[in-house]
Amino acid sequence: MIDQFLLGLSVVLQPEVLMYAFFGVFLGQVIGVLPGVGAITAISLLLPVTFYLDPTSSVILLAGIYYGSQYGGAIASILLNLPGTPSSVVTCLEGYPLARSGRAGFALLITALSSFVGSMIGVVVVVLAAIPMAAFALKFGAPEYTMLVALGLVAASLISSGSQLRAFSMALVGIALGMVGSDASTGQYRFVATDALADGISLVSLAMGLFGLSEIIRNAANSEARKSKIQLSFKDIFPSKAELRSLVAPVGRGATIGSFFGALPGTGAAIASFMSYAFERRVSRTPEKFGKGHLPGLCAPEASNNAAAQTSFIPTLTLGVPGDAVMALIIGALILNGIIPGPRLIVDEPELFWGVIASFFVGNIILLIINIPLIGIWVRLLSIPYYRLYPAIVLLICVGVYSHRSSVTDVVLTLVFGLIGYIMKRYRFEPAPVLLGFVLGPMLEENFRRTMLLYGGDFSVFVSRPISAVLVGCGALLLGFTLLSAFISHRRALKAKHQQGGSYSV
Amino acid sequence: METLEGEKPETGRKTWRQAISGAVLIAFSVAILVTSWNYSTGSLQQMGPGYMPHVIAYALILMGLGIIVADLRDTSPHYAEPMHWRALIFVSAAVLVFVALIEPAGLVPAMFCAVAASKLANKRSSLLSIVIYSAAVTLAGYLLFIVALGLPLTVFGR
Repeated sequence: MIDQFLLGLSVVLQPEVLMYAFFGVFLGQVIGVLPGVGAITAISLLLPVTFYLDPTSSVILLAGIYYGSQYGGAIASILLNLPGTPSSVVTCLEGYPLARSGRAGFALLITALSSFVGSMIGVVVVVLAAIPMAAFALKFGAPEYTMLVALGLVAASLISSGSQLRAFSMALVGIALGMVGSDASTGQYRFVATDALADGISLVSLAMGLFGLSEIIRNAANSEARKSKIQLSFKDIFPSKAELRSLVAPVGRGATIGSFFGALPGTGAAIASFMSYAFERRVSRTPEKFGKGHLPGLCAPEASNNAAAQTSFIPTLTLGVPGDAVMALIIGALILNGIIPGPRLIVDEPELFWGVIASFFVGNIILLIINIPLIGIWVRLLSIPYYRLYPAIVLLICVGVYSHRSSVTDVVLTLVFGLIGYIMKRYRFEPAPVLLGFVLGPMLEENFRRTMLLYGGDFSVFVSRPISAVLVGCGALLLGFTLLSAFISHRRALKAKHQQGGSYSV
Repeated sequence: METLEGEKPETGRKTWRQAISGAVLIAFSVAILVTSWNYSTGSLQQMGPGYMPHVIAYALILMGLGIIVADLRDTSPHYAEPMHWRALIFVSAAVLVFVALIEPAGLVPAMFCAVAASKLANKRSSLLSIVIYSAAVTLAGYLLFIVALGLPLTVFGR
C-alpha cells in the first residue's frame, strides 16, 4: 500500500502534473468563493479542456476543483453568512456569529485547519480502502453491478432534500437521455433525431445546460453587490493550546462521519456536514452554545464535508460507479479520455489510480498553504458582483461546448437543457439526479441485459447471489425507512392540523 | 404576470397548474414510447434495443401519475419566483448569436457578440460599458482559448 502510494506521489510530483493539481485546487477555492458558480458548473466547464490532457492530469484537475471548492465555500459562509457550496450551509450557523464577534480571522484559520485534518483523514481512508475494495469489486458480476447501480440511483433519489418522487423521476429522465445514440448491444440507433445525435447527447452539453446556463438565467438580473460587513482582523487568530485540544475529538468525529457518508452512494459532502453538526449537538454537554459561534459546531462539519469529498472517490475509482453528480462528471471525464472506470482500473492503470489519490494528499497541503495567506484575494473575489461574472461564464460555456466536438448542435442542445433546467427548478425538480441517471443509465442497461441473458431471464439471481442479495437488502431497508419516516411525518402533520382546527372552532 | 413584491403564491384554485409537473412528465414518457414503438423489444432473456426504453417510459408514467396525485393533495403554498424573462431572452440570444457566428465569422466576432448580448440580461448595462466589457472578455477569451490552450478554432472568418 505504501509502495503504491509512493508510486502515486512520484506521478503527482512531476512538474506538469503538479501544475494541474495546483491549478485544480486553486480554481476550486476560487469557485467556492465566487457567487453563483458551483463545483458542478466548473467541472463541466473544464470537461472539454481535459480532452487535451492526459487522463491522469484530467482527473487530478477535476478532483482538485471539487475538494478545493469545499475549502472556498466556508469563506463565504463565515464572512457573508451565505453558503458558497451546499456543504457549507451549516458553517454559516457557527462561523458567521464568530466572525461578527470580531474573530473572523480566527474562524477562517480554524476552519481551514479542520478542513485540512478532515481531508487528510479522508485520504487515509481512501488509501486503506482502495485495494480491498477493488479486490472485492472484482468478484462483482453483472447481477451485482445491476443492483449496485440501481441502489445508487434509488439512494440518490430517496436521500434528496425535496420530493423523492420528483428526484427519482428525474433519475429516470436521465436514464432516458442516456439512451440516445447507438444501442451498445445491437448497434441500432435509438432516438437519433439528427445525425449530430448519433454519438449520443454530450455529457458536456447536458451538464453545462442544466447547471451552468439555468443558473445564469436565474441569477443574471441580480445587480446586488455582495459586501461583507465583517471587519477582518488578524489579531489573535491563532487558537490556544487548550482550544486546539478541545477540538481534537469533534474533528475526529466529524471526519469519521464524513468518511462514512462520503463513501456511500447517494450521500455526499452536504449530507455529511449536516449529520456531523447534528451529531455534535447531540453529544455536546453544552448544546445551548450552538448557533452562537461554538467551535465544535464549526470544526466538526468542516472536517466532515472535506473527509466526505475525499472518500466519495472510493466507489468512483474502485467500482466505477459514481455516487453523486460531481462524481458522475469525473467518470464522464475518464470515459471521454478512453478509460473504462471499474475495478480493473487499479490493476490496469496503477499510475492514474494512485496518482489521483496521491494528488488529494498534495492538493490539500497546497490548499492549506494558499488558504490563509491569500485571504485578501478571497475577500476581494467574494465581493465581485454576479453581473460582472456571468457573461464570461456564458462565453466559457459556448466555447467549451463547441470546441468539444466542433458541433453547433451541441451548443443549441446546451441552450435547450439550460431552458429545461430553469423550468424544472421552478417546478421543484432538481437537476442533479438527471446527470447521475445519464451516466449510470447505460451501465444499468448493459448489466441488466447481460444478467438476463446469462441467467435466462430469471430474477431470482438477484437474491440468490450473496453480494447482490445484500445490495437488494440495503435498498429495501432504505426504501422501508423512507416510507416509514414519510408516514410518521404525515401523521404528525395531520395531528397538528387537527389540533389547530380544534382551537379555531372554540 | 401580476407580481407583488417579486413573489407570487401558487394558489390552490388553479388545479391545472398543480397537475402540470406530472402531466409534462407523462407527455415526455409518451413521446419516448411513440419514438421507440418500432424498436424491437425482444424477450426478457434477449432484450432488444426497445426493451429498456419501454420499461423506463412506463416507470416514468407511473411517476408522473404519482406526482400529479401528490401535487393535488399538497395544499401548502409554494412560492415561485417570477420568471426571469429578460435574462432568459438575452442569455438564449447570446448562445444563438454564438451559434450563428462561430462557423461563418470565426471565434472573435462570435465571442464579442455573445458577450455583448448576454450583458443585456442585466439591466445595469450602458452601451459604453457593454462595449468595453465585451472587448475585454473577448481579448481574455482569445488569450485563453487560442494562445494558452491552442484550441483548433478559426479566429476570424473562414
